Amino acid sequence: MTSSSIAAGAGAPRTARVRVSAALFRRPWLRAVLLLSAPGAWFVLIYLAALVLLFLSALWKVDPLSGKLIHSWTLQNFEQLVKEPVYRTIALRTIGLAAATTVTDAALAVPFAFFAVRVAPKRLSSALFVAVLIPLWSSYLVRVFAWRLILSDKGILNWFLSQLGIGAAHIGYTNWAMWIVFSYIWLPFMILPVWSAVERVPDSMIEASADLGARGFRTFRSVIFPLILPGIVAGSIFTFSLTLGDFITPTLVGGAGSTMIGNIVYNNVGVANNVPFAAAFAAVPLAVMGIYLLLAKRLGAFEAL
Amino acid sequence: MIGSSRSSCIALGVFTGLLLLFLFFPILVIVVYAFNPSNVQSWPLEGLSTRWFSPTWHNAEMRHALWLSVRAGLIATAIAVLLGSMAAFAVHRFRFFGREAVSLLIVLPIALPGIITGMALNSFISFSGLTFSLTTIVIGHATFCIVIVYNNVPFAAAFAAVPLAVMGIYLLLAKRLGAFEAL
Repeated sequence: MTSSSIAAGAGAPRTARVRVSAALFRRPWLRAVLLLSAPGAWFVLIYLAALVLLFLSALWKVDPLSGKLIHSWTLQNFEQLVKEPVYRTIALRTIGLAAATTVTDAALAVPFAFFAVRVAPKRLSSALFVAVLIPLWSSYLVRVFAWRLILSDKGILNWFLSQLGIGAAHIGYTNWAMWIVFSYIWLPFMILPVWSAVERVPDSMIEASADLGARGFRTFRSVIFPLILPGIVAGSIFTFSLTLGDFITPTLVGGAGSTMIGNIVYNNVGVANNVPFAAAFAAVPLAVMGIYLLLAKRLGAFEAL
Repeated sequence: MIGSSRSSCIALGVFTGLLLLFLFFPILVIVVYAFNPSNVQSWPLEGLSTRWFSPTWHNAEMRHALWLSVRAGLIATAIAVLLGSMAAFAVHRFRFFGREAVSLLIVLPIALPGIITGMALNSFISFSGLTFSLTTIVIGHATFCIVIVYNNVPFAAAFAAVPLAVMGIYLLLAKRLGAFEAL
C-alpha cells in the first residue's frame, strides 16, 4: 500500500503531510540530512570558510608602505617565523605552559573526581558537581583579575605570608603566576570528562582487583588509571588547547618574559595589522593541536568527550 | 572507594576540601573587592564601602554593556541550542557516511585554540564586508556555543546565557576599580 492510497480519504493538506512523513520514514538518511543541513551550513559557510581564508592569508603578505594585503603567494611569513629565535622561544614557552597546565589539572582532577564519585555520599556528590560548574558562570576575565589581586606584590598572598613571618613571594607577573592561573581557570574542563570516566569504571573490576590481593595504589595504577585514561586525554584536549590560544592571562598576570603565541597573533591582527604573519604564527598551535588530536583519537578520547 | 582504607578516604576528602577552596577563593576575592573604599588594589582593604554600586548601576555605559551582553547571550544561545540539538540528534541517532567527520568538525571550535577561531572569524568578517556589530558578536559566540550544546544538550542551554550577563556587570565593576588603567 502506498502513502497516497492510505491518505485517499483525507483532505489535501493531510495528504501532503502524510506523504512527507512517509517519505522521511522510509529514508532515514533523508532525516539525517535534513537535521544536519542547518548546523552543517553554519559550520561550512562561516567556520570552515573562515579557517580556510585564514590559512590562505598566511601565504600572502602585507605591503610595508601602504599596509594593504598583497594577494600573491609567498612563504616569507613562515621564513620569518623560523629565522627569528624570539618566535621559537615564544612558541616553546606557550607549548611548555600548556603542557604544565594540563599535567597539573590532571593531577588535581583525578583525586577530586575519585572522591566525588566513589567516596562521597550521593547528595555531597551532586553538590560537588555544581561546585565545579559555578566558577564557569562567572567571567573568565574576572577570575583572572582576582588572581592578579591575590598574587601581586601588595596582594593577599604576600600579606598572608608576612602574617606567618615568611618573606614575600614574588610570584605576581611571572610565568609561575601564569601557570597557577591557567591551571585554575581550565580546571573544570578537566574535571568534567574525568568525572564521567571515573563513573564508568565498574565496581566489579575494583572488587576483582582487591580479591586478587591488590592494595589501593596497585588497584589505581593497574586497573583504574588505564580505564580513566581516555577521560584524562579528553580533558587534556581542552586544557592544552585553551592554554595554547590564550592572550588575556599573559596580559593580566604575566610579566616581561611572558609573551605567548596568542599575544603575538592578537597584536599582529589588531595593532600591527599584519594578518598574514599572524595567520602563519597561528599555524603553529594548529599543527600542534592536529598532532595532539590524532594521538587523542588513538587513545580513545573522542568516545570519552 | 571499595577495598581501600579509611585513612585514604579521609586524605581524599581533605584534598577535595582544599580544591574547593582553590576554586572559590578567587571568586570570593572579587566579591570582597567590590566593597573596596579606595581604588588602590592592595590588601588588606582600608574598610568596606558600597560607594561603587550606585554609580555603577546608574552608569549609562554600564547599562548599555549589560543590555548588549544580555541580547548577545540570548540570541547566541537560541542559535546554539537549535543548531547544536539538530546536529546532536543527527550524529547520535543515525549512522551515515562522514558521521565522524561531522562530529570532529563541530568539536573543532573548542579543540582548536580560541585565538585561531577568533582571528579566523575576524578576518572572515572584514573580508566579507560585514561591519562589526551585535550580529558579528552573535556569530562568534554561537559558533563556540554550538559545541557545548552538542556535547550536552539539555544542560548547556541554561548555562550559556548566564556568564555573558554576569560578565557585562563585572567588566564595568572592574572598570570602576581602575582595572583597565592597570592593564
